[in-house]
Amino acid sequence: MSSDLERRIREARAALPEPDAEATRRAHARALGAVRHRRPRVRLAVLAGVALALALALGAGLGTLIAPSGTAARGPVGLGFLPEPGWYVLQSGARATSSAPATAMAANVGFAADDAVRGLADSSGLPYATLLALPPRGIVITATFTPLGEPWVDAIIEEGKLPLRVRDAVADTGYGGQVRPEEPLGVYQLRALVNGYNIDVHVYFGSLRPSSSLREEAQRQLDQLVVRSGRTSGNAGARVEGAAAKASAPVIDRTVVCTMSFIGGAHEIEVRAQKGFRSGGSSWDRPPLAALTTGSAGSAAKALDNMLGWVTAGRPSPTATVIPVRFPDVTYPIATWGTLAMSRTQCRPAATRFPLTAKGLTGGPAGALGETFDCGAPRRVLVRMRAVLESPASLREHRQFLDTKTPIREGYVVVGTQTGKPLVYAEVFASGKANLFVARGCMPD
Amino acid sequence: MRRRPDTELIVLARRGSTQAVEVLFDRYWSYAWRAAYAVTADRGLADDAAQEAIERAFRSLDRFDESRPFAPWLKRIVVNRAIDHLRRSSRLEVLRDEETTFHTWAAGESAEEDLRQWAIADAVAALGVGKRVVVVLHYWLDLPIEEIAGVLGLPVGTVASRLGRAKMELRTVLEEDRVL
Repeated sequence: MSSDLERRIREARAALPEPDAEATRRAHARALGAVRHRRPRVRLAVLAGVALALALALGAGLGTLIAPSGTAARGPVGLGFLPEPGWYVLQSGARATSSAPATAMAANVGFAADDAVRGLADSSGLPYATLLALPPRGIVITATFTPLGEPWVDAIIEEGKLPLRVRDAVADTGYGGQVRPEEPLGVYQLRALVNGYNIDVHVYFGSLRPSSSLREEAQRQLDQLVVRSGRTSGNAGARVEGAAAKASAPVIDRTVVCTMSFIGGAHEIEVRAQKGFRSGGSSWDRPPLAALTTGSAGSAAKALDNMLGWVTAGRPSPTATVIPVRFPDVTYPIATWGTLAMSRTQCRPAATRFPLTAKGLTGGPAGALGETFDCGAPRRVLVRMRAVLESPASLREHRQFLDTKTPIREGYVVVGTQTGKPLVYAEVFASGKANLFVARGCMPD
Repeated sequence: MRRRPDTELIVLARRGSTQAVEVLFDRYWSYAWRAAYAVTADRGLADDAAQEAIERAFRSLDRFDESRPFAPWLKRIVVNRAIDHLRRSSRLEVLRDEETTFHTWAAGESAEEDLRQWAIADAVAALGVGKRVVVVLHYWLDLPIEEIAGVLGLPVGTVASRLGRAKMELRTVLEEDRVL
């Protein structure tokens, strides 16, 4: 009996899914890059690593080798970019380890939503969606920070000083071709050891041959690269994180996995989107809203129990409600229940990244009376909610939801299966607009 | 090139043949990703772990002993990366001050094609993360118990008993669901 169970467990691995195209494309680029970056001096480097280890054993001490040079540290400390005027920056954090390098990005165009993970830089270090749409005068700079410690890498990279110079970079057109083969980017790479970190910088230009003015613009931002010394205190690091955070718009971006209700023999999710309506003044009587529900609404007292979440935009009036007023005695004011909310009882945090895109879905603008669709779904779906807020805020527990009451400039909701199939995309804006896109097979309610 | 054995491709890749790298990548990428997914049960984590593992493996080809098979070597790198990511993501969840839960992996579209496998896979996914990882490493990635103990930094006895408890739990669930 036990062997039968074991056999069946083994067979169940056939149900494992396959990687998607984007992950495959990135892995392919990294595999080729890994081999391309290997140098003939690697064996020499390994020897150098062994020598380094011996030196350590003899008491030479690594500390003296990685101590910052007197010229390297400048201004505040951290691992990232301070933004030049007109530039946007993202960073993954102030800490870096060999297994989890820190990444930072800067761009003179807004980052595509897909390139941020919970408002932070994608840990892959490749802002893929932004690069795909990079205009001719666009520039993106990425930096990856890995602490010293891999001798075969450390030995082939030269000690550097800040600021790094674009003119020292080497062209890396092959990689650019991988990102956007039909309209290749100009890609330049710089590597240097600074303050105990192995820094790998890529400068992407929207045109293959960037003009001198573009190169100068890139240099001005590269001048703002900050590399914390390994010896610097945590407080100083926190200051830079704060500075970088201030430069970004306040964003809440969460992806969760939600359990669907089982009704009539099927799992189903309902999405509703409505354009904003106001009779006067600046606040919305019915703000633009996108909401997700699974299962039936039930009684008035439990009308929100099956809601997975919602996002509104603009300033709601005090009487604006989350759901249409069907129950005269019970209303659910947005002022109380939140401009954005996610169910704590039906959803759990997920680390999965899920793109904000309507690709593969059909739809368009939602009317003031609202559009509602029912979509068949698996037992669990991924839900990503993103909001650009009017002021910084975080989600707080409130009844069965995590919510914020801060007004939102623009909000997004995407739903998809855990295997990556998109089901719903909705977006709402403070201007009152709302757009809704759903998968084929979703039925209007 | 596509018919050449791994050992020849590795020698060529070491000499800088991108064609050889391409063939090796095509041969093992899906394998690496599915192994990462089996451990992490999360597409995002699997993407990161598998990409890092592939990059690390190709960067370290000089250190690979070509008298041994390539797949188990790559699998070990993938498993280590995947477990690192899993641990890190668990810590992040705690830091976010929300209820920490390891969400289940889904068999997705294939569920419709093979309900039984889906049910078993779902039952595996619903195990606590400690038990789930042991089951996945042993039954899906074919790691012996001693090697699992090494990867997870646990005593062999702990791994064995965890595996035993996991099987009991799976049996109960699957019998209730009439899968067994």
